[in-house]
Amino acid sequence: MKLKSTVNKITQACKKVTSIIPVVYFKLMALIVVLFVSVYHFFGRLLKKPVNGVKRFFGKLLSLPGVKGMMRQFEKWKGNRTIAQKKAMTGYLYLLPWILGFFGLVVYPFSRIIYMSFHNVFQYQQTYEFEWVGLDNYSRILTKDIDFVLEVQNFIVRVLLYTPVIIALAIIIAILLNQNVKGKSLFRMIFFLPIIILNGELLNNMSNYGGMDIHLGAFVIDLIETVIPHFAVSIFIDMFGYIIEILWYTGVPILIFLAMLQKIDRSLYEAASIDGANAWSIFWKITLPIIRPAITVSIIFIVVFLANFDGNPINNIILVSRSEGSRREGYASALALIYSFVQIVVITILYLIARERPQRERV
Amino acid sequence: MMKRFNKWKKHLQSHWPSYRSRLLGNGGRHGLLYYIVIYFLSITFAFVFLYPLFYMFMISLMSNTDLVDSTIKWIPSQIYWKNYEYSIRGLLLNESYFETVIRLFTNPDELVSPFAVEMRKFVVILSIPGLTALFGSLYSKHPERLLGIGFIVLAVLMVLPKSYVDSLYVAGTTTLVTVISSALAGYGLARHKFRGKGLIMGLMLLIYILPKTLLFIPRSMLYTQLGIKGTMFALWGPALLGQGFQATFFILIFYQFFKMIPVQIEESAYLDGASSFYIFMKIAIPTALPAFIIAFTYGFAVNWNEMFLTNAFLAGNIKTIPMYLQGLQSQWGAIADYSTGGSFVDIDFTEAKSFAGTILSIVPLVIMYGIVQRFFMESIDKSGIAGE
Repeated sequence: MKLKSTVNKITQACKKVTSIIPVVYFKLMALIVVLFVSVYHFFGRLLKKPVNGVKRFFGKLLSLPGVKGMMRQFEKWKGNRTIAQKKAMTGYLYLLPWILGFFGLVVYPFSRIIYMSFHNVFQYQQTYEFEWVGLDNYSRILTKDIDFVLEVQNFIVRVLLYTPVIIALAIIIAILLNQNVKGKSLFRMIFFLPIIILNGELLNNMSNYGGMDIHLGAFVIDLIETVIPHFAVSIFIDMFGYIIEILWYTGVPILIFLAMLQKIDRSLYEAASIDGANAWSIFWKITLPIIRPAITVSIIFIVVFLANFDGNPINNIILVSRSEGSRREGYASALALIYSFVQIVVITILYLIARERPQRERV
Repeated sequence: MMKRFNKWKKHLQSHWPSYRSRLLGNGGRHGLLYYIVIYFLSITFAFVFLYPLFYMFMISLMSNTDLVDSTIKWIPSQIYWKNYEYSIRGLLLNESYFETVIRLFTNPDELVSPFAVEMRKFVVILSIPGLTALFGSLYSKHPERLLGIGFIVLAVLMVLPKSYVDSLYVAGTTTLVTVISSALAGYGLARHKFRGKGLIMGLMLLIYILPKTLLFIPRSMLYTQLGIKGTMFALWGPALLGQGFQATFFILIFYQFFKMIPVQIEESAYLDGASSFYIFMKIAIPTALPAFIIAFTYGFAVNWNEMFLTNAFLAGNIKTIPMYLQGLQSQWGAIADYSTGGSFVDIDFTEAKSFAGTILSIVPLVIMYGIVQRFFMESIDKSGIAGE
């Protein structure tokens, strides 16, 4: 018993220490950066010899006996390397923060989330308790509770319907913006505005109160419906209700396509038009194959954007489940895992559809 | 009559090539039809893009009686400013930031957020002029001018409403940290050869594809254990470690851009004995300025609009504009002034009020966009953002 209590005390002391460390660490980092820059510049400015000032400051530190020995060891360890090896080392140094973050903020949380998804989580004050339930969370989500599955179905349908439309519209607008006409910059400004101001709350407010759909005039609809039966048109008319929402999502894809279009060599077009190609065939034979790689990039971007968007109801379900009494963190973790899986599958499907197939031989 | 028509027909037949070229264009010149089509499509799209904003603005000027009136569609019978008056109160725009600062030093118990959080914010905002001058002295010969600009920014921040300042603080600092760490990572990937580079880029893409909901539960538990939940360190930490919101996107932008810059200048600097970091600071950053502008603009907008992670990690200690906007309807009873007499019909929460709040929430972003859009467009022209 005594041993246990001492162990407990030690662990609590350790916890206290570790709870201080990160904040201190961040503060230290900030302090070091500020100190280094200020010393380097203000001292340098005052002495008119920036490098010497720094050397004088750090030289005294470096000449301390213990530090000197360490430096020599470091030089020994550092020496005998080729330039390529040294460059590789600096490369790793640049990516060190990312690698640390990858292990600390991705790998570790990922293992935790898999662990939690097989457990029921209870919280007592500050400590968590885990109860093994096996695949219970998953079976509850997929077979018993209806909200998540329904929203995921909606999500898949929405992504599969929206993505082609977004890409087609983005290509059209990018081509429009690529023309050399007056007032181009004004149109560009308007088309990129949604990139800046779009957020979930804004879109919610607008679509809740009917700001998001332009009503087709009754006359136009009647005209269409006299020619084509209602059931065949209705999906397009419904689609028109989402046109603004879809257009507002096209910002970044337009940007990507525009950058790609501006890279195309003008002489290609000239050569084609001298050979007698019209605009239509130039688009299909030259422009589209060149901007093809951008389509895959845009698809990935759009799906990730739609999935992460704050207006997406699935995010809300996961957030609410996390603190709901009967669900808690375990259930929410399972939700998040299933959702990620769905998203990867959707991206893979769209990627496989859009990827470049090896060209067939033409005679 | 018939004669005239025949004459005209003959004229048309004989002059057809010239009309045709004027209409359809020939050789290097574009015809009239081309311009008609281009402008028609551009204006249509522009109208559809701006329609919701225009609609929102018109509705936000109406009183509730106007909303119900079926004869009024666009123009209100009378401009009803109360929508904005109450929304300003709802978004906490009626309080300048310096009032909070005064409260911070005289009466810290009345602060909305914890003392330490508020104090840290004040210190960061106060250090803006000094830091801009320090970093500016790396690149410009007149850092004292930057110091002046910094003080102007500081003065403006003091006068701005508190919730705008909070949002600026959250979005601005997080973007800054994200951009710095992504620029470092992008430079390392673009300029250095080492084993496992392909693996790292693949992992980056994988992280990008994963939804943000996946890791936020264990991460927020981790932050609680570390004691940084509810402070800005919960946003700065991951941003510093290259795991901020959409960090991969920025890393790829920088990677792409550093790849495009010719390597010869840096190599000659390296042969002259400059260290890699020195080259990065002195040569790479100035040449990659467009990438920085793009990353800053886009990152700022993304971080301003991001609400899910910010809400979860800050735990309500600092509230940004989108959060206030979300709570506008539920707070309406406390905001609106029902004691003015008369009927409550015009005061109750409707879309007019919601739209007024929305308009107010996007005003700073639109102003910022208006200022930076010229540089933003230029940067886009210079860069090939489209990734491999």
